[in-house]
Amino acid sequence: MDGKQNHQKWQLSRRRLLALMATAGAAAVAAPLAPSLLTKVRGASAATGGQRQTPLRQWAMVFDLRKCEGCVTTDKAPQCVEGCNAEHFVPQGQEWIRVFEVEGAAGHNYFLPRPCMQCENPPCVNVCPVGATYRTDEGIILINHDRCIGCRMCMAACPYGVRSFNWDQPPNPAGATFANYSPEYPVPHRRGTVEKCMLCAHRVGDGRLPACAEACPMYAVYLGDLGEDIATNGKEVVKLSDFLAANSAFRLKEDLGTRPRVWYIPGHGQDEGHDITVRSRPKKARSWQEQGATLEHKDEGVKK
Amino acid sequence: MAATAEERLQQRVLAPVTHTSRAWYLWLGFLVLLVGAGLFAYNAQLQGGLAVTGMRDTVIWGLYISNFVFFSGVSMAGTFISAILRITGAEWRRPLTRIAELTTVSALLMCALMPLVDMGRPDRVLYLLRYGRLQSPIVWDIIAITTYLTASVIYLYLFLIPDAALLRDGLKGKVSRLRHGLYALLALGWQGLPEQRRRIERGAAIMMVLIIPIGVTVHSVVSWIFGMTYRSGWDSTIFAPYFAVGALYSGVAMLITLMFVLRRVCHLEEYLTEKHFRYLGYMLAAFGVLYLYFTFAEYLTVAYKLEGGESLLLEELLLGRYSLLVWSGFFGGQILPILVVLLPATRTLPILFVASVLVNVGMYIKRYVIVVPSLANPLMPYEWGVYTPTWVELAVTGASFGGFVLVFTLFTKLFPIISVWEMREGWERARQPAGAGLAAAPAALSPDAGGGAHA
Amino acid sequence: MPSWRPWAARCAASMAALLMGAVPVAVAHAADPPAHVEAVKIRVDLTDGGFNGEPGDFVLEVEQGHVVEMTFVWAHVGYVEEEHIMLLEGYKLETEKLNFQNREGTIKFIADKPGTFVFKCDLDCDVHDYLQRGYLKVKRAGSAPPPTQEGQGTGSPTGAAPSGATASGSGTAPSSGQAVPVAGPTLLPTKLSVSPSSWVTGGEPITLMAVLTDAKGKPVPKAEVRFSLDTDFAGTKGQVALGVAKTDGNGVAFLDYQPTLGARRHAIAASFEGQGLYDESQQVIQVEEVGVPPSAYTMPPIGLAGFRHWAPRALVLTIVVVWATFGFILYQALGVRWARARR
Repeated sequence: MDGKQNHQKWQLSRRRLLALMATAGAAAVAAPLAPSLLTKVRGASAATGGQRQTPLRQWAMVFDLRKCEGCVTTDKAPQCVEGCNAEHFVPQGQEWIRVFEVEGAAGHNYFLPRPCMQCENPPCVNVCPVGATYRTDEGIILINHDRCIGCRMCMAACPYGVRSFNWDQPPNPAGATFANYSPEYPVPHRRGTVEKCMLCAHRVGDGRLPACAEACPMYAVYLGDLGEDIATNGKEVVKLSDFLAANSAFRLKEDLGTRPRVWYIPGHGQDEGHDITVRSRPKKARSWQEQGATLEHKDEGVKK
Repeated sequence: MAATAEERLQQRVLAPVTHTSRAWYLWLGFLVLLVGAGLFAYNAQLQGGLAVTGMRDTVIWGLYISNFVFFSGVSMAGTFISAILRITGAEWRRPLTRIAELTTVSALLMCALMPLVDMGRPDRVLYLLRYGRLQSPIVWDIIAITTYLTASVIYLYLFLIPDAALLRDGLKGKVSRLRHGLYALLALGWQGLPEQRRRIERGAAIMMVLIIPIGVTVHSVVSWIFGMTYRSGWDSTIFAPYFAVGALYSGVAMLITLMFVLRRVCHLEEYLTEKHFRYLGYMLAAFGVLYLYFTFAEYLTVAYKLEGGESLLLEELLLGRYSLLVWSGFFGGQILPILVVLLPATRTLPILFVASVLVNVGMYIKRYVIVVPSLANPLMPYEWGVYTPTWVELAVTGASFGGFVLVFTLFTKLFPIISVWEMREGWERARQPAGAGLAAAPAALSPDAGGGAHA
Repeated sequence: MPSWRPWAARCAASMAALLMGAVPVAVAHAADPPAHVEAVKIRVDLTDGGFNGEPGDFVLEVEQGHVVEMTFVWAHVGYVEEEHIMLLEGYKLETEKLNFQNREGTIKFIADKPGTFVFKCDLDCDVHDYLQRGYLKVKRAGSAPPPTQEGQGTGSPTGAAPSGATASGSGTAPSSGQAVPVAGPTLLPTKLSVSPSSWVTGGEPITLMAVLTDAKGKPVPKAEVRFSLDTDFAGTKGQVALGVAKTDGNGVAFLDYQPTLGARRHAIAASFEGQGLYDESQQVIQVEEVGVPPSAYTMPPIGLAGFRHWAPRALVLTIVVVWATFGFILYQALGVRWARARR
């Protein structure tokens, strides 16, 4: 009897002990995970450097399609694409900014250069499982190639198809292996990660135009700052809000609710003499290798 | 009488455990080769990057993700048989439970492997744990599949305890000491005591209720990998129930296929009777009709509105480059099997087996058709994407099926493929006086009713 | 009657008319004020039948360099609903709307451009076009009649139109052929002053006031004042248009300005391009910013913030509960082992 009672007590206490251990174990496992599970990933914002007089930059881009004619009148490949290719040593087969020849609703054909839309409600950032892609405070969507696991969920989620994947190891320019990698200037490129246009975060942070804007011979590409309400294409400076409203600017796939930061002013290159009755295709853009771009002469591939 | 039946059962299911035929070794060799080919192909992928596959910047997901979705669908089998049928008190499920649970576990293992194979940076797989974001459908997938796998393994294990005890006691001296030690360990000192039974029953009772929402969750989150994007064909609100019903359909079909094969190979004709196949056939037809309904609802709403990209996609699916696949999958995988089951003339075992294989093939085609065309469909004015799987992807796919079957092959060698304990439970319940037949939940057996007699 | 009598009478009458006309001219020129100050006053009646009662084309002639003041008088008797805005092409001047209530409109300018210019009603109507179209010929200074081809108006007739400016009522008739000394086109200087002329801002909005006056200090009404800002963005310097304001009757224009630029110092330029006989003028003011101006753009929030906050937490809770249940079940399984220990 005594033994049985003892046994009972022993059973109970062992039960309780085990319960305590189980709870402690669960807590020990859950505790370190909980913060990372609960907190939203905050990516490192672009280097802000020192005292700034400006309100926080809110980068935007405007493409004035009245001036863009796919560079067909110059008989060259689209210069925005070539500028970007040279600036970032974009791997062969990828085009971070791409020029489409579109047939409009009225049957007119026009050219549409499409970089990353830098959405305010970005589907790519929402679905990334490890937070490798993130939106900076200034509105640029960057990719941290140290963290990307190559699942390509962001590529499936992007409704504009702006992202590309390094299916194999892309060739990097000489010296790139020792270049200082940063998400703002993702060189050298790595196999198994996702790439896309990053609004030349390294250039706009320095107060320069993105490579595509600088390369455009028609001055059709504007870099804008919604915070200062200002935009420039390298030749003139305009008040961004008035510029967009006065010219009936639109965004792509507006109804999806992605809220892109890239605007288009409707047109078909008429300012540069593009005739809608004449159909001519843009030439194929050259790779950085074909342009002879090197790390030392980064800007040389970009023409003005 | 019951003792003889039970002894017969034990003899039958323990035969593969004790005796290994040459055929088994040959079969194992073939499977190992198949898996080995897959490993070789994966190594080629590790060397050369994902460029060795047929995926490119438009069609970014191909066979790997199709396999992923297919195997996740197959995994519903266990939930259905062990949980749903148990809750509803369908006694005919008893011989099927272990096969079903094993199907689930095996399918989930293969399902979990596929996205890993698809990753561009597999060296960073632990980042998913370290930096995982709860807002991402992929992280939901990881959590759900891990949870489901754990639940299924636990569920499989719970009723394996008495069977392990059976092996521990019955095979003393007939198997190696290592194996015997394994059985003893797994048996956890089972002696058929009422207290022990109660514990098993309690665990099973909780698990059978819990595993149903977990199973449904798995299929829902797998569907949301696609459903949370803006792509034509994926941007659908009914994707979660669509995939769940598809999983029921494909799970039951895989179960029929495996049952048929195992019945032949392990000589289980006495236990996996025509009645079981017929009932499963009815379930197959029921789920097939339900799946047809979902398919119809999905396509009708798209075809009526003909919105932009959806219209393009639907044209290519029904009339264009994917039409052969879609229609053959539809007729072969969705219409024909239902007809076969519903017509008494065709409701024979071999034809049912063929029908179930057709369903599996049709569902595999369906998964491929869900994944690839929506990716090939251009988002901006460029050309349609092209996807041709390479030998790497085909080898890995073959290996995944090989691995799936390998789990069964190895399992039959170690454990009885029919749950002896559950069969016994069923016979005991049949012997019970009134009130035993329609039990909604397995009640704890009273200490007297045939409890301690069997070791 | 002798046949020479009617001829003599006509001659005498013309002489008298000429003398009568000449007297004021002589008087005007005897007084000899500088030609560019004195305005040539022309009055044109807008009647049911056309300008000064004449349908069809109607031509006035002035000398280049003269200051001209054209007054249009609404004088309809029959078409009392008619409304006109009289426009002088080439010089791009126009009156206000003339109708039953507002019967007089004047444009004053220096005829510095030679040629033939159309003046007509700017309201589109065939009736107007037929009845109310006239030509103003500006002759080159000190030369023969102006070449009619040079007109900036619409297709000036090469043939001689009914000549002579007929003036009814007051006003000095312009004399053709008389050489009038002209100093070249000289515009009236104006002064544009903006207040505040310089200020320090912390980023709050401010209203700029621009006052446009002429040399005598009289306000210039209905003048367009453009405001622009000197900026430097992404390595490009330029002027950003801030807005345009029209001066009111007191010559004052207002513009609301919200600073958005971050540069420490920048300059706002207000400019008036010149209109009619007024010369252009501008003024630049300096703005200094001490603080960071507020952002011109606030991003609208992504919706369903509450849900996005709580949903992950609910998910974590669910996962923990499920796994705790697994733990409990495994614990039950372990209990099998312990149940054995009782023996």
